[in-house]
Amino acid sequence: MRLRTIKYYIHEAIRSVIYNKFMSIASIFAVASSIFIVAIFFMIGANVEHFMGELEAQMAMSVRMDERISHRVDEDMTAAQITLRNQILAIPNVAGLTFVSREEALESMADRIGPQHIEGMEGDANPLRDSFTVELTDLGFHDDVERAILNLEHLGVAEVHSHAQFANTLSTISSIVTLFVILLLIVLAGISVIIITNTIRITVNARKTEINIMKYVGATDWFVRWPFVLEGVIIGLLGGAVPGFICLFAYPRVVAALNDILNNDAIVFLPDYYITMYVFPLSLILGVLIGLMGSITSVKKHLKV
Amino acid sequence: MIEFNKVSKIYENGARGLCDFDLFIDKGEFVFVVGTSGSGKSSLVRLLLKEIEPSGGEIIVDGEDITTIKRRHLPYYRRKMGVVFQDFRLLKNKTVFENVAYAMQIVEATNREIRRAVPQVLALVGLQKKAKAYPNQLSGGEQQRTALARAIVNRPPLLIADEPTGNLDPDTAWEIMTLLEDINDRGTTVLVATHAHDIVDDMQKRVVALKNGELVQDVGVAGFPDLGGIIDEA
Repeated sequence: MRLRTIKYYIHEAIRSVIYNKFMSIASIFAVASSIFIVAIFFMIGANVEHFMGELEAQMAMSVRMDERISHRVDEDMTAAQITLRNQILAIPNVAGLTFVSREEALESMADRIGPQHIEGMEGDANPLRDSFTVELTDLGFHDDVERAILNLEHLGVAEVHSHAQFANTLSTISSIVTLFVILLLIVLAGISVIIITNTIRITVNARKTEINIMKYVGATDWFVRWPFVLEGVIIGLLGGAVPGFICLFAYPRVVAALNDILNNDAIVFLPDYYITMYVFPLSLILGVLIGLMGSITSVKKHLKV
Repeated sequence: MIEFNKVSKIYENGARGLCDFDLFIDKGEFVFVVGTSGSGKSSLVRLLLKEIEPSGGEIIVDGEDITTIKRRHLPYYRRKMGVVFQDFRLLKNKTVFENVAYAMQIVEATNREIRRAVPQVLALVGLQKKAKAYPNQLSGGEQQRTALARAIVNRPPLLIADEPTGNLDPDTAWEIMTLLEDINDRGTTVLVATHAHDIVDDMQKRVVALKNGELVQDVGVAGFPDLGGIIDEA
């Protein structure tokens, strides 16, 4: 394909968008509306996922050691504790592990319930045991990991303490939200394609005589198709840019407003750059794809002349 | 140039387009195809344009059996001919210049070639002053002359005109026919499907008459045939 032919296609596409300005604006509006809804649900879904991830990170399980290996003589882990640590780390889906000495556990307890309640528990009187705090790659693997750790009883595992039920509930909610968002994305993207296909089809139908003439004069299918395809891409790109820019502008303000209303640090929203990096490009890509599919399918049936 | 050998066309609804039709048109000829509505004129033109496929027989154009041409090669076949329709079929969002240039753009002519050839052909059809006008700013005759300019700008060896004067007044119709004759004089084979009796009568060219899809008369340039009501009064 020669450069001047490419220039011709681009020129024709831009000219056609301008010449059919009312239909172009209607198409851009249709694409923008659909993508905007997709983008909103995408951001809600992504924030829920993010929040769940944050919660999961806090949902670590605590592995308490039994009498045999719990009492250390100094600050370092004993050989038995190191063996147990390595065995736990070898369990699939264990993301990390932190050693918590019985002294640290007592200090933590003092912070939670008040120092007056732990008086007389210092030193050898400390009733707590050394433990490991185990983090998982995904809360969904909680039960498997817990079972595997309990199988290490011979290495000194006394008990596994966790928020199993809460963890499972969180994991279920997270999966449902993810599934819901994916389904919604598919349905909305499908609806968008149908809308834009129909809108472009109206444009193309109005111009079927033009396509017929082009074919009679000896234009190849692609010579006829390219300007329409590029027109679809331009409409899709503009239709994607509108919701993209709205999200860029509105997201930080909506998050700020929600933070003011909720007035706590428990819910951490996705940072603004997430919109710049993902939502904006995604809107543009989705717009282009919708425009491409719409224009290609619309032109196809008029080419058989 | 054009050869129809035992060509038949039966449409899906059973209507007969052509039946065992034979025709030979030599290079450089000017031929009228005449007949009433439903006689097969349009079928003949549509078959030549490869808009429809024959039910039987072979059609040879410029040495090539067009019934075997694959769909992807169809545009290249159509570039060998210029076509003029009764309803002009101009691109309404393009100027006269652009409508004519379009035929050159599809064959990827350079801008220089387009800038040279289009004014020449517009001058030939007398539209050099209307280059910037849009089709809706032109009279019927001017629109048909634009269509004619588009049809010949790539210098095709064959020009097919389907009822080219059907929407024009008698004077304008004559202008168009004179132009077609000029084009023929330059070596282009011209085939005109028409039912315009007076034009066929006065032009003194070869006349091929069809009735119910069959060739009923093929009369050479020597004289106008007595068609016995085969063609309508224009």
